[in-house]
Amino acid sequence: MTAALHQYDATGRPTLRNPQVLMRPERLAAMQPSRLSGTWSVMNRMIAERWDIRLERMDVDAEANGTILYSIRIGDHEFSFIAFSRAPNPEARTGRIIGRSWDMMGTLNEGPATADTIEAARREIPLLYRGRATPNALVWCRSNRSMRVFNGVLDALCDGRQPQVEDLNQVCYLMRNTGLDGNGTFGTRAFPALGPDHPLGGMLQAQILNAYLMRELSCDLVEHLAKLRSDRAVPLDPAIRRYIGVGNGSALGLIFYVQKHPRLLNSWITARETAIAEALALKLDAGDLRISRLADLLRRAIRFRREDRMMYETFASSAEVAADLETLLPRLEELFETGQIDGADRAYPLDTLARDCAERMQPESYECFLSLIMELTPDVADAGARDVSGADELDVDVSATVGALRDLIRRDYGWALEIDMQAEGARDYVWYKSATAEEPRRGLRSEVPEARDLGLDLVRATQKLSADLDSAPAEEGLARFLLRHPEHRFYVARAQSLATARYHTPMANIDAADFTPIDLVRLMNVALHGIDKTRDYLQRNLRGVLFHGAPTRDDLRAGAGADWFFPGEPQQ
Amino acid sequence: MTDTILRVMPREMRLMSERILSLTTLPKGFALMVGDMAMYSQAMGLGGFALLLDRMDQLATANPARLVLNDNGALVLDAQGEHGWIVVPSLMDLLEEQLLHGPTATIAFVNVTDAAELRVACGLGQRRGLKISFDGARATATRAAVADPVLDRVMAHGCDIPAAFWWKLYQTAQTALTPDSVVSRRHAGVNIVLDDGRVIGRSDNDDDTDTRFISRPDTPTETETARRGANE
Repeated sequence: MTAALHQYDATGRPTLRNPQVLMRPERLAAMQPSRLSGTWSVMNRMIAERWDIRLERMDVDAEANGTILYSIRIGDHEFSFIAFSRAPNPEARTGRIIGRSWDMMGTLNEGPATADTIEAARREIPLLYRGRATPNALVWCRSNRSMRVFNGVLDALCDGRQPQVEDLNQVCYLMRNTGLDGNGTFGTRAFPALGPDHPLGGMLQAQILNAYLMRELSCDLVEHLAKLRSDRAVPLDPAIRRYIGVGNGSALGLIFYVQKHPRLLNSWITARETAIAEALALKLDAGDLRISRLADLLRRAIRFRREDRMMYETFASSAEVAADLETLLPRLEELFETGQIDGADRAYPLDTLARDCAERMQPESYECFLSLIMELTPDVADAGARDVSGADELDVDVSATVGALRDLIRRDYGWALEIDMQAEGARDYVWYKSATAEEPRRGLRSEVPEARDLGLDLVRATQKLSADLDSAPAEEGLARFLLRHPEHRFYVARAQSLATARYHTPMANIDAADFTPIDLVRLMNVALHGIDKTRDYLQRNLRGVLFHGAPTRDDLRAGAGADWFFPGEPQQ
Repeated sequence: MTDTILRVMPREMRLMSERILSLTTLPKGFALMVGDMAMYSQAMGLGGFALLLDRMDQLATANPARLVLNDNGALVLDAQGEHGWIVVPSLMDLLEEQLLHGPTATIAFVNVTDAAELRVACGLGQRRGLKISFDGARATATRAAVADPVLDRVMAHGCDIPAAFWWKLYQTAQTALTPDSVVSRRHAGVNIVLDDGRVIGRSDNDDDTDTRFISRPDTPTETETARRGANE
């Protein structure tokens, strides 16, 4: 299977990887953070453009109740982050959507915070789905403390000392994001209307900035509480502060996201694969400094993985990844010194190494190598990140015939047509949401017979569409076919709208007993969002840390902090 | 509060339509493509979401496969009493099909309930590059530039909808979701809490979770608690 993953043009130059292999869930799950990930790409912009983020108000009492305001200046645009801190309540506390106990709720708004917007946010945000955002709101958010780590850090600062890195390493954050809702949710602004020139108009950029602000808030809050509680209190050492990221918990809702935004997924993966192909095709001779740059990045990644304390239930452990990556270092040294790999000249040395990684390493190790080589062609990756987009609207093209659609389905959905839907377990699971809090759930259909399936049963639908196409005259127009078979309209529109895309749909029957939901959760969280040090639960939930090692606000104003990712543990 | 006007965004309108239409017998592969009808209708000053609620009984048993196309020299689409929103997709398809062979397309329609709602096609058609007009029981189309001014407008400004009506709609849409239960709570989350409070699964490394809360479905959620507080 790995042999077909790498593809080449007629001259033998590496091109985009094979979607028939890449779009398998287990492959998608292995993709690692990179320059194309939300956190990395936004942070690169924050540093380059020197975003000016200032804490304007910390009106919080010693119990942690109060209001916090930040001002964010991006070029000529000003944004505000209005947050409400609350004393933690152990009762009904859970990171799940059904929770009713959050330590912070807030909103990222366009323009400066006014008394009216603050009061509207204070009144409406706790109502969640029954609340209404002000017209200038971009994102609503909420977070919980990691109680042990937050309290441990607070105690240390109150004592006039820095927290132990060993303690921080339990989770690597003080607060964990439990919701970043925007793009029209609760009446927030619709992102497609922001336009390409808006500083937060790109994919996930408003949410990613909000996540960074949550990281900053968590550090500012713990310092503030320490100061209120102790005369001996000290602020966080900047090195510790950078090391502290913001937590993130995600689960099944991301599967719905993947299904609802195939164009966006295709756009992002295409950008990523284009950057990888460009890097794989680099000509590198002996002494090329890009080789030593890559070796430095690998050493950082290895150390980062060796210092990772998280447990990996479904995926390769960090120790395995570190060991895999370690084997690349002597080969890069050889390349730097002689221009060869394994004693032979290679037209595309990084492609040679990558193929070798694919064959003998954990998929995560291979994907980590690919993420790092993108750093050698940053302009391509950054241009790709800027252009990621994808409208949600799908439509039928009636100029096609039944025969043409039949060919399209066979070409693009052969994987779906091959799945045996009569096999045991093929239809065991149902995807639904709870009425109380919209929590996405997946369970045995037999356990919740009343549940309406919200998942997109693409495999079964495609098989039915294919069967009906086979029974129709090949020359028939789709207008007539859909008049007789209106039940296929969405699937026809989807297939036609994505006909020129290569990376739009994970090739999986999501209703099957052997489908592993966390594969796609991990694709979104790790690869798209850029989450590190993940910990997985029950093949459906993922916890991790965003902005681990990211520059502080002062760093950003100074334009400092590039290469922040994969931080080493601060020395104590 | 009843006269408060809410600015409702496309994402929310689409969510409501999708959920409410899932309460009908419409096949998913059709319902997912008519989800925008109510939003466009609302934005274009037609029946909109009020009509969606008013026509729930009819939509509940709607069947787009009942549409019949009669071709006796001129095309006549017989909707067999189906609602205008159910007819719009095929109407646009058939107009566009004719445009493959000539500069103008015309189709007559009969037996359409809420036929005025067919005008939603004027908005939606622009997305497909169709300029559609109506004259009595006939629709005419010509080719036009691909654009989506109705969607652009609601993306930028949303739709103004009375609060009381919106929350009524919201409540109807909620009925498409699944009631919370101890069993269904086991279908999400980082661990599984049994009836006796035991936790199954790997221990949480950030374990502030109140497992009693997970195993008690009658506990009010944050939203409910806040709403209650706001109403008191």
